[in-house]
Amino acid sequence: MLKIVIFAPIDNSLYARLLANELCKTEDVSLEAIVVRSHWNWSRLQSEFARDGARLLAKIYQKYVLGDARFRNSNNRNLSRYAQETGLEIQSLKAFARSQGLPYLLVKDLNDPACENIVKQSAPDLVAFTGGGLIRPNILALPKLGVLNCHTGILPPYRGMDVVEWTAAEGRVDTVGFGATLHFMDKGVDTGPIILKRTISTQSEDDFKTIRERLEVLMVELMLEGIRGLRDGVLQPQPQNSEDGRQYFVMHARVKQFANEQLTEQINLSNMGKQS
Amino acid sequence: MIKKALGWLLGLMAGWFDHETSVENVREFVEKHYRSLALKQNLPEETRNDMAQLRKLLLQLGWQAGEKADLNVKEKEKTGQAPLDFADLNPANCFERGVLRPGCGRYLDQFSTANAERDVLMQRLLRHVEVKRQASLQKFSQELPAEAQWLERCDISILFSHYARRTRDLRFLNAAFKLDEWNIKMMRRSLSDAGRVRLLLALAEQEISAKELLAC
Repeated sequence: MLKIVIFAPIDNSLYARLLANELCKTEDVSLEAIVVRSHWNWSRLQSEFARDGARLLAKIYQKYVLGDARFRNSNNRNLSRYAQETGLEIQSLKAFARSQGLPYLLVKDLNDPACENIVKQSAPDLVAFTGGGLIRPNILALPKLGVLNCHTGILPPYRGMDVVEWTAAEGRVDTVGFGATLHFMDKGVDTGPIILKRTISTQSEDDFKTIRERLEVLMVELMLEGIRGLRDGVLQPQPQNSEDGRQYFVMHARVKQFANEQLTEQINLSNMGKQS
Repeated sequence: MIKKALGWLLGLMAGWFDHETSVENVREFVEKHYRSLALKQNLPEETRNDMAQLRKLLLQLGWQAGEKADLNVKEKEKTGQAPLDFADLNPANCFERGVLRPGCGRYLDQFSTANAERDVLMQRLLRHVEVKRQASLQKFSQELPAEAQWLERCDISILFSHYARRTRDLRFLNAAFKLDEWNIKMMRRSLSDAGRVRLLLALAEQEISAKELLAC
């Protein structure tokens, strides 16, 4: 029996809810606890505003105002459609934990001592991290196998932030592609051993939003596939060489505009190649 | 309905923030300040050199440098940058644990070819700026007056713009955009002429790199 604790960025995280829902149906996997980072924290808000600027407003709107409704009117295979496919009924992680009789903890920060304690008590094999900031080494060291993270980009080349956009800006849509990588977290940024990675194909009408939506579905799928693979002992994590990739940071609006143009150009070129 | 209205409002605000850093706004800002600075007769020599360099960049960008500005900096234009003494600097000591040694930016900028030690240091500097953001580049190995600190920070931005062009690494231009954006906000407070000119120089270098790497 593989024991798992879920770390979630917010209580209504669709990614975390889908994962919890599916893990409950998975044989020889036992969900031990759910730890959620609380919504409102003034110092975090300040720090995120300094990092993201105006984009934070859009993020808050997407997450807190629209919630699941942000996927409405989209024909893309997004998390909402995936939730329909899998029959997700969980409205919040708190309600889900209560219904399952699972320990549920709301913390200011995932590095809080309370979080460390609950992980210690649960003695999990794995922590499934679905977002919520950096995790300190003392917590990373607690689960027997490690802390799993699914990164929205191809590792090792694209570590860090906004890597979907960076892949396009650097003209590597055809050579590296858009995808997700499941890996164990270590003290570096996306530098831990790789478990699984997969790319998605692009379509002529794609933009960064539609690509990210499909990648979100891929992240849930990879997380589940990875957990099953680790449970069955059929997956072998592959260490990364630090020189094989570099770290990317939040993209400035001016570079983002260029990335948008590059994306359109590369998708058009790729479609022309397919047609000929 | 309320959600739609809120979404529209937030989109508008985000658009306004992005517009502030558009090439048109940067151009307007640089040209305006350049014109007012060029009218000044008593700029120190180093600042006049910066003005001459700035004028060259403005012409390269096809921006307006103005006739009067031309007359005021003409003589210095020919002299170029004064030679700098970097005797006590090397890639191992100019930026350690978030602490800058004065001259670090200009020192690292003089390497025109690949240098392994310098390249490692550039990655560390990039990470420092991106992680610490507005709190970056604040610690110096010796006590420096506020103006000298400002000039050092502008020099790092210029270094990033140059390095982005040399290595075609967009991450450095990305960081230069951010550094300059933060600095523009600071410039709205009182700042010496030397500090204003150096920021304009950093902005012009940023735009030269943007023109080359982003074609805008």
